[in-house]
Amino acid sequence: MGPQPYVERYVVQGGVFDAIGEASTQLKSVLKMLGIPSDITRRATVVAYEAEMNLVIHAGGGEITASVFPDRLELFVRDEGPGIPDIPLAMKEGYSTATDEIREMGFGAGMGLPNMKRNSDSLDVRSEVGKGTSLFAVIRFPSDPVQQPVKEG
Amino acid sequence: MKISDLSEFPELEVIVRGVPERDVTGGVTGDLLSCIMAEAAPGMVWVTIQVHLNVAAVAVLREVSGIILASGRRPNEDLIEKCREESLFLGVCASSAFDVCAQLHARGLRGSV
Ligand SMILES: Nc1ncnc2c1ncn2[C@@H]1O[C@H](COP(=O)(O)OP(=O)(O)OP(=O)(O)O)[C@@H](O)[C@H]1O
Ligand SMILES: [Mg+2]
Repeated sequence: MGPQPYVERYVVQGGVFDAIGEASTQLKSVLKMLGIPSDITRRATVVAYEAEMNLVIHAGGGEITASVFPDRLELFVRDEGPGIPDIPLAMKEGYSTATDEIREMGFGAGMGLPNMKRNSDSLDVRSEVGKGTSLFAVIRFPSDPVQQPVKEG
Repeated sequence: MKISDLSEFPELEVIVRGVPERDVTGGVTGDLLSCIMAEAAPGMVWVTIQVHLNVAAVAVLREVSGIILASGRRPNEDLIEKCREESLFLGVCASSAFDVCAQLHARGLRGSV
């Protein structure tokens, strides 16, 4: 049995554009508070933000669960939206089904899923059309033991 | 370059002063939020024509040092409020994004840090 993770859960409303980023911003401050290295926090923030954006824009809302283990962060994202018919296609840079109106706001570059993949050590996307989508991302912490800071003065 | 140096740009109107002594590490431009999520590095100044609240969310998450709205685009009220709340520099420039970036580049800012 491993140690119990530190778990945070965020509910994301569908269609509420102004709120995009709230969950990721909260997660970011939690990770900072837990003393997670800043490059890891930055990567986690990208994954969380892109996930959050997709929940709002494509899925009619959903849920993000972040579990912090001693050696890794796991992000589990699920929704009961329309699902993704062709996952390899959706993972391609530049592929987007966003409307023109949404694109004018700067969403819909088709970069979200590729960004998530680039910033996580593993990303698993599962989806069933008409049922929903789930994503599981793992970001591992640096494996070399952290040096104790040397006190100066 | 510091954030306070941005106020000296010709035609740049400062909307939110932010943290004047903060270092500007480089620059990034674009209007697609996911591209900025991918490209922006901490401390960069972001030149865009997007004027809505989500600009601040991306700026804060990517830890950019400031936002310059190009082509004279006026920020939405909620973007101004959010920038105040986050002490994030927000300026408006009449010049196009191309010209704003060229000026920043001439003063030593680069697209990578
Ligand atoms: N949770 C989801 N539910 C349903 N469809 C989704 C979901 N997430 C992504 N998609 C589909 O996959 C496509 C690609 O997603 P991706 O995040 O890469 O780009 P985007 O959201 O369209 O644009 P960007 O993320 O750059 O703003 C989307 O346009 C959409 O069709
Ligand atoms: Mg997306």
